[in-house]
Amino acid sequence: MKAKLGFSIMAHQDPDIMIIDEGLSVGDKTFVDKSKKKMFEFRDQGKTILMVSHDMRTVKEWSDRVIWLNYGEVKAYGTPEEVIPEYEKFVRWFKSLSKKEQEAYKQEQRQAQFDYSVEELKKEIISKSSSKSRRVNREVTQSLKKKKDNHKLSFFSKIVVALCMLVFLWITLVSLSNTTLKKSVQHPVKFFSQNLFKAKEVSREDKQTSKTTESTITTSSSSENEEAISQSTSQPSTSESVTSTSESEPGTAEETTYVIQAGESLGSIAESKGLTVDAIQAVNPGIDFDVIRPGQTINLPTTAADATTEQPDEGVIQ
Amino acid sequence: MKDAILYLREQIKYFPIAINLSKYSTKSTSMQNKFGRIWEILDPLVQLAINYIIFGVLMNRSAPDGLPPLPWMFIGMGVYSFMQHVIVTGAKSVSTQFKTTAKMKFPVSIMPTASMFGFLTELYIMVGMGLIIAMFSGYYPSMYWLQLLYYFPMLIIFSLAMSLFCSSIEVVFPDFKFFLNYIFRFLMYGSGVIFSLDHFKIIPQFLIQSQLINPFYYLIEGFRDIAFGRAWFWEKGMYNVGFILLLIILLIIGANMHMKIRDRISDYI
Repeated sequence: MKAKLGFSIMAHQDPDIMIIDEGLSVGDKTFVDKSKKKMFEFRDQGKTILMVSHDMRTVKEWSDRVIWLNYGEVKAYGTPEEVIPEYEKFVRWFKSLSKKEQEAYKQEQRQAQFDYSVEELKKEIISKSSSKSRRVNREVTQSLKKKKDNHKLSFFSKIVVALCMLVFLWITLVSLSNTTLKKSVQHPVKFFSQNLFKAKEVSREDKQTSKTTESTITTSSSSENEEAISQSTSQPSTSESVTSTSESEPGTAEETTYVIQAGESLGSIAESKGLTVDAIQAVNPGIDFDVIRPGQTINLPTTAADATTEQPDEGVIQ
Repeated sequence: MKDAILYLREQIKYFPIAINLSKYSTKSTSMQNKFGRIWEILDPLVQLAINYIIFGVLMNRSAPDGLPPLPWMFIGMGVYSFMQHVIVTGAKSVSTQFKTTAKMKFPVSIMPTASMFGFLTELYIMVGMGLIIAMFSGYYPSMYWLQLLYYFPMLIIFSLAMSLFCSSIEVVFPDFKFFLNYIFRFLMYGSGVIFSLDHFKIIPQFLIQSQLINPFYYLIEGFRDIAFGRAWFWEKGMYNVGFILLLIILLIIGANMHMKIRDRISDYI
């Protein structure tokens, strides 16, 4: 069925050269007759039809000229009357061999196919040509080379690709550093020695704390956070104000963050937590406590006596 | 360079054939189902529903910067699964459908394109649903939607260039499809499709900040920018340049590899 369909598609495309590989040996009689008619029609229009077949009767009937291929080698080329008897002679000879000899013959031919190379083809062509000049030699070499790789990347596109890659890599490096593209081009040495593989100024901790204050309840990954949730649910009215626990960095395990509310002073915070003002100042080296504003986040130290879990309760009551 | 231009020209010339090919291939696959072509619409919708139940209801998860999480995720998934499907099936298409092209009068290079059209419906539905759900959260259509004119062609060209590149590798080295699957499995998590990588403290900050250099992330974020009106694409500065350079590299090398093996595909398969 597939062969039929393939043949029909081919016939409809109105080709100049047709190649049929054993296509018609499978069809039923009516289809073969129909396609035969079509092919003869094409032949009368002067089109080339290349047919591959093992069936000598079809070959005799259809072809004007015959090529006998044996293991990739053209054994004979000519009219059917000339070639077919030769082929039949060969077949008879092959059949007369013993099984071992047949096997040996096949092996030998196959090996010859494997060993064949472009170099040999070159030699063959040169030895066949009548004039043995150098020019012929060069031409043959050239044409063979051309056939082998005619799709090499041209010099120009190689340069374009290389440039693109270079710039792309540079941009990647810049994105991994803490400078801008412009600065990295102006000071390449500084870029490679100092800026590479550094985080940008917008530090990660800031992002982290802002995120945790926004969504303390949803990010329940650590056990401390779960505790915080259980507490905040137990005291619904004030749970928003206390966003403690949820340590953003492992180094500050003994500190808790605290968001300052309106109307609070440092003294009142310290009092409600049972801490001293100095102790709070000690763990917040970067913050000026002369001016504190509502919404600001500060760190609170946790003394051994009060566990983190108890502090919010006290902080809320005040 | 020449090959890339030839490839693009072939795409334009055989565009109608590619559409026909995809139409008939979806027709032939949907003929086997009782519901036929309804599945094309139903399948992404069911996927979205599953994700809605798991991530929206059960996990009640959040998206970065306080964006509504569901549209954030749906758009990411839509864009990403489109790229994944186009590249994976496109890479396979040349080696599997070579037999069809051998009998016909069109080049093999349109096979990835033809398989791409089939996935457009899924993309439309996923991203469209994401946009619609975003409207419930107050992100209405804005001027930023004009960026679709930039991101959508980029998405298609990038997917096609990538699938052409991979298809050539796959013809020569058929085991490549496994690697491709692993790569995409990894990229799904590495490109912020379902969750943002910003949460993970173990990743150094300088890697997080360079995420946009990843073309998949660049496109996904681009579509999210459209939905939430966050930024214009030129505000991304050098990352645009990086993306386009990568695109050019892929196109030139991919087209060259394709043309190199095109005459010999039947030897490889």
